[in-house]
Amino acid sequence: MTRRERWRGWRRSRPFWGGLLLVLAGLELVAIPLSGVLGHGAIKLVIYIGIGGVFGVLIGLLLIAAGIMLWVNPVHRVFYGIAGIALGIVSFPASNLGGFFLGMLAAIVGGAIGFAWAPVEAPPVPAAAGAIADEEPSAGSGIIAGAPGDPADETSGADTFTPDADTFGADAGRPEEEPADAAGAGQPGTEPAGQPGPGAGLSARPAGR
Amino acid sequence: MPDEDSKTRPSVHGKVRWRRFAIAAVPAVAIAGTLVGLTAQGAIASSISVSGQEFLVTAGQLNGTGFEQFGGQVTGSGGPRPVIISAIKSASLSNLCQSVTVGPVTLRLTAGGGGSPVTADNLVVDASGQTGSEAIFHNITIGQDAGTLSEDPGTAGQPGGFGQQADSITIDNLVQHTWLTTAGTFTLPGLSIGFGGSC
Repeated sequence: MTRRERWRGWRRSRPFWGGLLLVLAGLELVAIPLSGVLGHGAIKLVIYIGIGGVFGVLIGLLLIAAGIMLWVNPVHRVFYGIAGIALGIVSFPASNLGGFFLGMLAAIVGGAIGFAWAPVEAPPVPAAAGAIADEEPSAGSGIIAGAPGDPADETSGADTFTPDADTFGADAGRPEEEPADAAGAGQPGTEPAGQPGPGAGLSARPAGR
Repeated sequence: MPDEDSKTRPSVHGKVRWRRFAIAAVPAVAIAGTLVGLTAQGAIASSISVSGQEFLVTAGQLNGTGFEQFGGQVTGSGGPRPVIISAIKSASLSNLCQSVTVGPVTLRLTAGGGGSPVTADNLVVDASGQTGSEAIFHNITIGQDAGTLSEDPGTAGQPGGFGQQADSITIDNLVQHTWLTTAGTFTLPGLSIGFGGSC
């Protein structure tokens, strides 16, 4: 595996762009009040900057931390994503109108990407598919995943859950990775378990009850 | 590529679920938009502090209470550079315009038109140049030791330096080139911000 492929694999195995946007937002928010200090060593200016500068620097540093943590600890991406969004919103009144909008927007988009990122199970062999789907349900779908995921044997599940599979298919139509799933229509019972939770859950509930 | 990955490491890559993205981003943008709207009405004060960039401030009229001014210097890339440091405890500015150049773009912020002026607390400005068409000072003390200035508590210059202070000031057609820092809490009624030329 070449270095470039490893880099690509590293990027794809975590919410890389969300983390990058959070880090950039944090750097921007820190740079506006502190570029004089960092660039010119004018430490005495910090005295004049006062509480506004402190908040700006604090929010920026927390955003950088959240972005890096999205990379090194993607398991907690929902937390870091929401933290990034909240910090971005708070930065508007607290730090130069959110770094003149740029930092705020980058933080909101980056946090939402981190929140929305989820691993894709692309099972090469059907046998492995069941195991992976069981051990990696996405957080939101955990509750409803019990319904379609429980029938461990996909063959029986395929028949009983045909209506569900249709609603899931309609919901999850947009993601581009679906063709692989559509090809493996033999196991519709497992695939929905990994699919986006909230949307699927909302649509499945009226059908069920 | 996904096949190779999943053989070596299962579930190694992920995607952004755009519906989930919308679930997070839409409320966040709505809240942020509300904050922007409240700020533009002057209901929320926002904190502004900028340093290291040339930052141009103009205002139709500045009224301030608790005014101090003293000389200082900041260490820029081209060596020390003298600045006039003005501190105003409480200021109101009509037709405020601030422009700051961040990288290749110039951001221009205007507020305080139409009879509802911008108000700012603890405004501290390090200006390299300051002009006004007319300035009125009340109860001014000129030549006071900069270390003993008391009109804006918490801000004072170097002991032994030249300073002046006044109870209140009025400056018409203010134009300030601020060199390093401006800090303060602003309410910005009628805020509009955009890219464009300087003020």
